[in-house]
Amino acid sequence: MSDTVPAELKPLAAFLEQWALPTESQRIARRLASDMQQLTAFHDAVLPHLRGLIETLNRYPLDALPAALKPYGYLALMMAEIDMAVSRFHSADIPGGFPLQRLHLVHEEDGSAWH
Amino acid sequence: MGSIDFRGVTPTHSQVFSTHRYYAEDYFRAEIENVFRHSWLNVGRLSDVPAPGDFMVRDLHAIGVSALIVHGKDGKVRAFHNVCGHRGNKVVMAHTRKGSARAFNCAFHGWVYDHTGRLVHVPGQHYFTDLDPARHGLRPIHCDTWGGFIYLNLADKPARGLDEYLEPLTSQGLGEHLAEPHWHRAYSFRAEIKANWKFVCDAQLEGYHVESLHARSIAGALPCTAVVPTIFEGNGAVLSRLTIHHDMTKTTPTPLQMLAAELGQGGTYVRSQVDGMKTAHPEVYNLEQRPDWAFDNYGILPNVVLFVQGSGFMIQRAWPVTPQSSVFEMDVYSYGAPANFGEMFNLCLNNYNVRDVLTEDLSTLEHTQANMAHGYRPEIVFSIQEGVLIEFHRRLEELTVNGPLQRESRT
Ligand code: FES
Ligand SMILES: [Fe+2]
Repeated sequence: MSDTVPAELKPLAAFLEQWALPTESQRIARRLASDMQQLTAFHDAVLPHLRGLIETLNRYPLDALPAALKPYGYLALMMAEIDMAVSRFHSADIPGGFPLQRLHLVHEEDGSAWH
Repeated sequence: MGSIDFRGVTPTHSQVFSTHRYYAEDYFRAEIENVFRHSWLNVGRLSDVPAPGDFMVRDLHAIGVSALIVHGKDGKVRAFHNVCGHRGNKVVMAHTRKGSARAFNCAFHGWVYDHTGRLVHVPGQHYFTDLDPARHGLRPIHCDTWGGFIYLNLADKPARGLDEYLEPLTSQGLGEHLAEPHWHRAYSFRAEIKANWKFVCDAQLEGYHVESLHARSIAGALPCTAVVPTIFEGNGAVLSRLTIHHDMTKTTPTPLQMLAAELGQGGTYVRSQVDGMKTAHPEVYNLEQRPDWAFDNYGILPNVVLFVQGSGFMIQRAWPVTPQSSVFEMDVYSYGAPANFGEMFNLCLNNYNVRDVLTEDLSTLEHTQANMAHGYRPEIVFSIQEGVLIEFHRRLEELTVNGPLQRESRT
């Protein structure tokens, strides 16, 4: 397994356990259960590696990603999940917003092609 | 119930507006009967039932219908009341929303209907005397398609065909554009909202709120307050177009948005560097052919707001449930399915950004509703900047109070 993970992704391995969550609902729950210190620390640590991560995954067709690489994809989507929290709201939830937990996610883009 | 002066198509004066329309039971019932049961209703996409045999159920109980939408073996999409001709059970029960079937088998006593709604099998038919199968088939609902969307009309005889109903967008070519086969459902979400359905529409039909309600998210980058709406004349269902442009001097994309812009097609809030479609169809969208164009926002009666972008579109539907509750739906479509992870990252970032910003839009609705129901605010006021709302409510009011016949005789 581990030999299919390219060296450039190794620095991200430490984040997988906590942040590599396969569904949007799970990532929302993780976002809302985190404080800004945790979100910002994760965001800032992964950001320098994000381009490399995506370029690595782009070497494969979406429906043929090696299983060992999928968690890194989840990590990237966790970054997407917290983009506005970190860079816009400076808050894990949306200040005053309609609760994210009340949205029914009928079709998760990331759920169709590559699970 | 203060009556208001609702004359003139392009509002030039702000308008005081009586709020009983947001909670009164009798007004709600009149809306259901005279508006929703006589309008073309956008219920989904052809891609929800892509192949012959595919079906889906749309339960719109407040409007008085459970609709069974079927892609027939002959390629035609039909809709039926999801009501068995025997003793009225749901032919497709509520837990099955979507699927594929060779025929429809009512679970209660096993009556079977084919894709055209014909009753084709009755177990123990000899127990019935003089059973006329033609009389007990599924009752059809008027069903048509436009722009790849499926529309239903519950009227006995719709006052207008769908193409005409959606003028001037039909002539503009928007329907053909949206019907192209490459559109891919990128995202959908729903919410039950404890607020009248019209509050859900109101929230997307004016730009006045952007500077305040979206101060943390998109204000500045998407200047909306000064946008002059186009209000379509003719008292039709297609109400308005708001064209929104990016303010390139105030756009400061997040680091992730900048990265995503290199990876895939454009999103709602960020211009893409690989998006060649922004200026593609001058007659259909981005009518001024401006490079800073973000999206066109169309208000369509009774309950749709359609956002057309260069490389995607979004549709919001607001469904009445009770006078003080509704269901909000948002579907996001992209130009094609993502081919690699970077394209998917681009789509997901846009989806999540849109979702977060929409929770700001949804944030006020239940508070406002609670206040309306207390009755201490019998009137609210719309500015000229909220002129689309003035016209939206004027047209709805006319249909609600005068009924659909009035509408037919107007044109
Ligand atoms: S109610 Fe459907 S078969 Fe009896
Ligand atoms: Fe908004």
